[in-house]
Amino acid sequence: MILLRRIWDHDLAWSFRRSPVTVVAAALTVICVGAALLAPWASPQDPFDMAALNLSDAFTPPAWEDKGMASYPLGTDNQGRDILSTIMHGARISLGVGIAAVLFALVLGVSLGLLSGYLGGRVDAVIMRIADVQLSFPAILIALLIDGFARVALPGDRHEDLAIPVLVLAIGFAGWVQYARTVRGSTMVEKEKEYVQAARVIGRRPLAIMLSHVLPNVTGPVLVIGTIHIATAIITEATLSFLGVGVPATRPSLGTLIRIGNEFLYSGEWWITVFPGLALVVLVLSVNLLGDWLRDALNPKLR
Amino acid sequence: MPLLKLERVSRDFDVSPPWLNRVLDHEPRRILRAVDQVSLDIDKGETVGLVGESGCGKSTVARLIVGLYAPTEGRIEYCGRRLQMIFQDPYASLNPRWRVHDIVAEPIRFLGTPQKVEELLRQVGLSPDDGEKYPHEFSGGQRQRISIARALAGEPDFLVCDEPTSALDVSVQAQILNLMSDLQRRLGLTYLFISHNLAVVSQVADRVGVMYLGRIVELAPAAQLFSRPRHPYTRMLLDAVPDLGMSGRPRTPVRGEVPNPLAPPSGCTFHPRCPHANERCRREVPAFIDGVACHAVLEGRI
Amino acid sequence: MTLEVRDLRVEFPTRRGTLTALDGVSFSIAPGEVLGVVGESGAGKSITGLAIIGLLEPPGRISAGEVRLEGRRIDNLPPEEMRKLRGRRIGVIFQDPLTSLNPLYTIGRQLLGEVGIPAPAARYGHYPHQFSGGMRQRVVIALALAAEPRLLIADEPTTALDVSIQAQIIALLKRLAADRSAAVMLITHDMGVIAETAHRVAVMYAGRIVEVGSVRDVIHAPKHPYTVGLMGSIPRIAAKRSRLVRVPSALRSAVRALFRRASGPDGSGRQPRRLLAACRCLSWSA
Repeated sequence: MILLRRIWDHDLAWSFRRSPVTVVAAALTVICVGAALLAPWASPQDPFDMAALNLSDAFTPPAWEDKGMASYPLGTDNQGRDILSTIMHGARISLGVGIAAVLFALVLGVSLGLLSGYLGGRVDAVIMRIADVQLSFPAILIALLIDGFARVALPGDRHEDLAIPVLVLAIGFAGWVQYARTVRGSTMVEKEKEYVQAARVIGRRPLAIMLSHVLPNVTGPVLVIGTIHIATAIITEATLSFLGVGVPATRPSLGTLIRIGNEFLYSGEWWITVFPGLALVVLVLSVNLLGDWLRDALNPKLR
Repeated sequence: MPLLKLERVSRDFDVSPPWLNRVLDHEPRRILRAVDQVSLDIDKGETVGLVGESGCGKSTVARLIVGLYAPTEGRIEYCGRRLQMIFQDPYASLNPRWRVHDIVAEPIRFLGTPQKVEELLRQVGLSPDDGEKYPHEFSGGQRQRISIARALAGEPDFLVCDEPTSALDVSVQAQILNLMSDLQRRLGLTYLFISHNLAVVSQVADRVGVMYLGRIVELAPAAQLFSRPRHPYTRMLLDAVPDLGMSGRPRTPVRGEVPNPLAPPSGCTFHPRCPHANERCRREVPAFIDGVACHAVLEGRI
Repeated sequence: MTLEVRDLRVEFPTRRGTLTALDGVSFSIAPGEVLGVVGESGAGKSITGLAIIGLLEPPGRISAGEVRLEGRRIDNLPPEEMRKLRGRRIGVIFQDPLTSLNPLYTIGRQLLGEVGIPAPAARYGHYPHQFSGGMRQRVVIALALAAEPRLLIADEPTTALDVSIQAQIIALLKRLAADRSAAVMLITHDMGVIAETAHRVAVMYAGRIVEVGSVRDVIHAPKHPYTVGLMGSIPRIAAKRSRLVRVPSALRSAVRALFRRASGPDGSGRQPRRLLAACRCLSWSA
């Protein structure tokens, strides 16, 4: 109880409560994440179970329309899959890939940033040049590059199994630089501080100092970057899936759903693409707003 | 047999512009000689003070002694067991994310000394419960006490103190200085006390070295240095200290400023500001003889 | 009187309650006089200076009292009026000469000769980073005095400088202020600087002035226990090596209490105000 009270009273919680936009954004994020996580149990229908599908129900419009049915609240697609269910499962894939990619980019970026900032010299020069080169390419292009390379390098029959891991790696590699740069800057500042020198006088090794002393002090901005990066990663994945090079169609993400639904947009079955599109927007927007709030709340100068 | 021996120690820093700039702008390499041929012996149980203004190299000497830098020339010989250091900034010298207990315990864990954190905290005037707190919950003076506890945790016989009280209020400074002298008596410690504040050094030091642009210009027992300063720079420094006693003593006005250490004057580096400089001072670097490096003193002119 | 401050109160409303930074401060400075305001961190001396020139950081504000410059009230002026006053009639010198000067502008020529910068015509077009710390502080002083202000507020003007430069800057300030008959408020924690520069000194503790008098009196015969303790803590050259803070026994417990800092949750070591009340019990009167 006391712990809850202390969390409630904390500066961060106070700033959170004061901003209605953030509260709404957080609520939406929780709903999206919850729906996505619980999809296998909470969705009205399992859209990937061929046996459960009823082809004659295909192209049913949303429930509030003329020919809609209550059992399909947002309508069905061309194969009779319930749109609400596909959205929930699709969000699961989108979020899963997004978060995994961000975690990978974070670990890679923070490690390289720490090494670069602490060791300086040639290590720093090499890592930063690679970062600079990579920054001159758009993230999508890098992800496409890695994905394409994987397709060529891996045997054909493994493509589908490895599609998602490859995608995670691709998006992750595309995004490590921002973490590395921030951490490098903070590390260079912390390195000069006397508590690091005190640890050196005691005789600790550079790696121990980096991990136990410097790392806890440079991770602040990383949290903010990571949160906003989730939104970007989800969009990147959606774009790749929309282009057809992302997740395979058998386990569609929101991006894939948008692509599939696109074909039917002009023949009048608008709900097949619009609802997944809306879901993507809501998800990304709320995560983004949450990240924005976090960045401002943690900025000591604005307090 | 001195506990610490510095023999003609020098330290250079490469402050050249980056390689690309040098090539494109045809700029030369620039080397900063922060410490220049410093020789110093410190005996067990002594407190040696090292004074000088900013840029004189005293902090670099401290870091050379504890091994944070390696000497470019010369030798450093330490015959004791362990050295520890206390730093100037009480806010930056403790890791803000670590609890006080872990901060003080780090040397114990790493070096395997048989100390106890609670006992060390008590020794420096804090409570053992303070171990659970974080550094930001303490004032500047208390943080310096924590730094001292951490230094003692390593069971040092020699403590290098780099401006340990410069960032503290005068009343807190007095408490910390008293603590340090108590600890020295009880534990038989040897101190190198670095400061730009001559009054503080006069309170704590047995012998005092005065540094200017990387060289020691005078080294003498404290009582002698403060009552009968020989080197013109020492005299100038003592004259510049504000006179709290308001004795109305006559003061020679201070001349000029510390020159750029990247382009030091020739010969005796103090000659542009020295009222007794002659041609020899402009040409020849004075040798350090009998505790002072000054042509005029050796020639009997002053 | 150039400057008159009466019962000045400054408060900072925070989430956890109102913080009283200044608690009824009163003093005055005559033309040509240098008043030293001395105290340790948290005493409120800088806040006093900021309140006078109207540069308190919001939400801090003057909640009571008045400030008069040459008889005219200035604490209740609108920001625009205050801004005009600040350059012209009140000059300000801050501690850090590096950040006091805009690095993008060059230095003006005619200011430099008066403050003793050699070859001023040549250095007219130079930028701040081309000057050393002491020179920069001279430039800042020149800027502050350029408009012939009636009042000069110097907040720790020599703290960031080496001791030899300090002496030069102190001498410069004294001379220039006397020449112009400006009133000077010299804020510092360094009693030595006060001894050299000021005519009178006010000692601050916990947002209040606890003792005020001529510099000679306060240094050699301090009355308030805090001043007694403060003088005892200051190390002096050529004094015999001994434990610092030698205090007459009658005052010892009061001094010890005043100097023991509370390590409250903010750890700022803010001076405990309640102990000031205890001092009234001692035989001491303002």
